[in-house]
Amino acid sequence: MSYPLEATRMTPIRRISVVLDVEDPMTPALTLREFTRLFGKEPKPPRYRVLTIEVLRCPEDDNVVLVSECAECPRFIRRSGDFIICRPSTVSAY
Amino acid sequence: MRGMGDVREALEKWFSSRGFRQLRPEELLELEEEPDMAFEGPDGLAFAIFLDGKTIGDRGAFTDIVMKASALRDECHFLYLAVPKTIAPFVDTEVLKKRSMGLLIVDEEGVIEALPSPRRPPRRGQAVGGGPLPEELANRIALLEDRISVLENELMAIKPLLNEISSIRGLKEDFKALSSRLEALSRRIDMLSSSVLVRAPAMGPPAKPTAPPSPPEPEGLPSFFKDNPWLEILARRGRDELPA
Repeated sequence: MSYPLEATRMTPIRRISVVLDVEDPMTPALTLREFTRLFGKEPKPPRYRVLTIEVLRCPEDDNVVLVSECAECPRFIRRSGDFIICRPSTVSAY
Repeated sequence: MRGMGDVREALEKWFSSRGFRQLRPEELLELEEEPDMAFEGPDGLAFAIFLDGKTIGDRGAFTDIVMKASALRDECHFLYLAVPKTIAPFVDTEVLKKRSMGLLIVDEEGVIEALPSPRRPPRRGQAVGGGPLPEELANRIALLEDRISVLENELMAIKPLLNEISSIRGLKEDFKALSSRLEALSRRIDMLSSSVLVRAPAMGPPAKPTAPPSPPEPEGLPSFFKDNPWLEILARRGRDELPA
């Protein structure tokens, strides 16, 4: 099993910190920056929880996907820092 | 998802395809941390550490894996972190590259070398084998012991000389004192000679040497007697002819 010699694709990963209100599920999930700007305070537990979500734009179909979803893709090679490295789509897998 | 037995089998297959042989635990030297799998090949030792999905969710277990990898890096030539594909997107290969580690992704289809491990020689020699020291090392130790005994004897011979050296130090102090006194005297002589030279011109130029006293001038004689050189010659005439 070996990789093709074609140049690989490096897709940047975006990290989004989202604040969740666990007491009021109707409150929209705000980003941490937006929450701080609107409420003028830091979200504190136990009411608020901050989740960090890592997403990227899949170069295959331009959809936003979670980083964990890359594990399902046969073109995935590895993660390097804040980039996902994968094979180009023109080459058939293996 | 593969079981641990399947992972071991897949890794053994992958390493054996590259000329590596799996080592049994008793074939390894005593290490602070034991690798999950160890292989020996033509290029040296290779260790593999497993990082499964459960370890990612357990902070303590994850820290343990990190510490194990850190401890084992200096004990082998190649060190690999073996992970299932589901957690591979969360393993940053930049960090592994910085620590000279490789990444193996274990999947249903086999093992993929996502990041090769650079070859780095172990710091304290190979961790394989054990038993007595090689003969060469034993010979070198014996030679070093002989040299140490020779040096000890020489040191014992040198010790009496230390007293002499200390007495020489006393002489050196005396010599310094004499030297300083001599310098002071020399300065004084210089000052005296310069003062003598300063006084001499103040007394005026030295007197010219006086001419020998001229014979008294004859009085009551005619003027041709005055300053006549023949007078002295004529006066001597006859004295030379006298018999001795």
